[in-house]
Amino acid sequence: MESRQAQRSAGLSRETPRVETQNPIALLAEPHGPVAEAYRTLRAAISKHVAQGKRSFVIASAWPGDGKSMVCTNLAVSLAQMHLQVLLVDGDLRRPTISRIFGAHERRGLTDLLEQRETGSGYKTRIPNLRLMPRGVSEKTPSNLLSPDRLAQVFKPLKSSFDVLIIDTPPLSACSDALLIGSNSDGAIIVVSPQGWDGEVEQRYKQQLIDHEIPVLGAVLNGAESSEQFGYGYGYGYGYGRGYGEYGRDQGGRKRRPRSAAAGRRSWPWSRPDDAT
Amino acid sequence: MNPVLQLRKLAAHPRLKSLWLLFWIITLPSALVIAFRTWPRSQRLDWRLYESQGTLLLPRSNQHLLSRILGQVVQTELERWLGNSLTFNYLIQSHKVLDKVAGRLGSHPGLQTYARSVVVVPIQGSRFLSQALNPVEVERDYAQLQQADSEERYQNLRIGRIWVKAVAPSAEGSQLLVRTTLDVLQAVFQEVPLGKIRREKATIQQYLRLTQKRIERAESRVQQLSQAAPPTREEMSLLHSQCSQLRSELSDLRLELEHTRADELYLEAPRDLQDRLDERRQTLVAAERLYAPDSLHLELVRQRWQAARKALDFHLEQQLLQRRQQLQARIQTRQKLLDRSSHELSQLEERLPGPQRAQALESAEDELRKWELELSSWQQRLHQCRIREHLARSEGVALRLQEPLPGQRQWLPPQAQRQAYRKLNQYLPLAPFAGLVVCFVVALWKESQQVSYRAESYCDARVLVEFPDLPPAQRRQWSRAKLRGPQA
Repeated sequence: MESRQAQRSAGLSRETPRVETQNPIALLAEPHGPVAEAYRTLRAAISKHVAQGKRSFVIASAWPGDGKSMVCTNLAVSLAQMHLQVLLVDGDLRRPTISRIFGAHERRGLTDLLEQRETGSGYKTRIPNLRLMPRGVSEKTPSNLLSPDRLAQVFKPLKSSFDVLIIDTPPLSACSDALLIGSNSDGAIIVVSPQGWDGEVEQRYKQQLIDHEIPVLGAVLNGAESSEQFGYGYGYGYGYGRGYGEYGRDQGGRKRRPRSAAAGRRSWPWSRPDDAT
Repeated sequence: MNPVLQLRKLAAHPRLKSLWLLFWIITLPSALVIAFRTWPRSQRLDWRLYESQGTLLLPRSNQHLLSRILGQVVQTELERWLGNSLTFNYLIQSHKVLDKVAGRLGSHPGLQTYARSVVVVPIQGSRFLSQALNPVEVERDYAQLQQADSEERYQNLRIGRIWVKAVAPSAEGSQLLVRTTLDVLQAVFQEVPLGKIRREKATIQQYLRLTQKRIERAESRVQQLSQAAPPTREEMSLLHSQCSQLRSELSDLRLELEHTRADELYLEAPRDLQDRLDERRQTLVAAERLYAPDSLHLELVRQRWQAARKALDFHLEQQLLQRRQQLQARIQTRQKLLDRSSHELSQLEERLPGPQRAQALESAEDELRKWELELSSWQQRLHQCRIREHLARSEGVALRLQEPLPGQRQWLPPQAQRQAYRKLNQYLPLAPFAGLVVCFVVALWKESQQVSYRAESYCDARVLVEFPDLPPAQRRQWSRAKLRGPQA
């Protein structure tokens, strides 16, 4: 009952997500604010690629907490407002933020499709023209699920069914899921946050995207002047859960430096038992 | 990443407008300074002057400039030198022109012996030598000499009002001799512009004022020390003699006073009173013989005699008192004089000469003499500077010897200061370049502080959009939704 109520308040009806009045999506909370205008600017940039025939876009970043999920959500909403059929895919199989935002984290989704090699078209949301493909409930290791043929099998019909696919991915410093998912997309958008900006590491990850033949369409600066409390609750750390390795380390094995003392003291919000996927 | 494209983007950045303004702010003043320092001071003659060793010298590559200087400068010190061939020869010898010529011909040992045969003579009488001595004619002379085939070439070159003659085994050698001699002459003669002379004059006047203040200070010091100077022997002996004389006078006066008291009875009474008393006494003796003792007439005569005796006694007493008062007054006066002299003597004895005080006085007097000499020296230099200023004002340029004459003091700043001055000017033309570099560094630094620039430069990814910071309430809402789902 509680889960159902949570789904309704997030925008999912019995079958579709539901948007709450106190909306966490900035584009809906303040449709005329500067943030919304910035997302419309991004939408305009994406529309150009859509007009060129590109359908699926991966939102990637180097570090956890850069704001990928938020950018994905708001970008998908802005594209849906342009009367495009948009599918928002929660490709972050380790920390399904989008699924949680929409209250669909206990519903079948991408992992189930990958595991059973099925096809689906996601859930309808209360936002017109926007459908959601949540993470899913399969508890298999994401790395085992993300094989290229399975991904191609899932995404190929989706590309033909929707105008735009916005795919959220885990950070590049944590795992290689973004590279695997991005290989089936038409382009990647890198989300950059001023906090924790390194430069060389980002360049390396960007080169990884290019090596996997994922065209980088551009970068998005998220909260260029934000303070340490910036966050959409990201905390960084990305804990990604138990059983998925140390998510707080980069690919070189170095433990990532906390961005602030407050952030370092922050508890792991996704470590609740019901969050473990 | 295309560096050219990046540079174009950087140059077209609107934030660079202020940096370009900064660049011009740095560059234009430095360019003006360079132009001011390197522009020829004398526009009338259009000389190209080069700065070397803190003084303005003529370029050696353009020898005709020397002819222009020496030909057009009239009423200058050079004119005076040229007017007297003896003086000019003395100048040539004193500055060792021929020795320097021989020294510069070190790579030609065969010509060094001929360097002594170079003759440098002044030409007198012509006022328009510059017209007759243009560089074209000089080169023509050179060409003619090169065509000659005699064993010993005779090189004869007039530059302005100086005639240089040289003999060498070959034409090239003679030409080399003459040109080397002209180089040495150029190095010896120094051009001094009017502005520099005025600066020198201002400096000299400032030094004069300083020296006058020093002299005033030294004079006050000497005066202070001389006032507190030890007494001389004459002063001491005079005071000693005064004291002894006063003491002797005092003793005489005191003795006289004693004698006056002792000789009280020997004082002489006035003659009229004494005569009257004698007459009254004789009258009284005669009356005592004639009249009875209780006679009234006898009593009257006796009273008259007593009155005369009282008058005489009173007079003697008054005289004695007056004498004593006079003596006491003289004694007091002498005593005061003696006391004063004794006091002065004691003061002089206290100020008996000390060696440090005498040395201080002597050093102060030496310092005063030194500053007085310095003042006269500066005044002489000011006079010379005024003459040069007058000459330079008339012709725009003055010439003087680069090296000071024997016995004259060097008034130019020390070599180290000149070197520092030259070093400063040496790198001054790099100021615009430095300004450019600084501006580009500042621009790159400012751009590098922007995440968009860093994203574009490092990731080579075009920045599509920059999202502003979220409001705190929205941020919290997102955090809650992310943690607890949409019910939050």
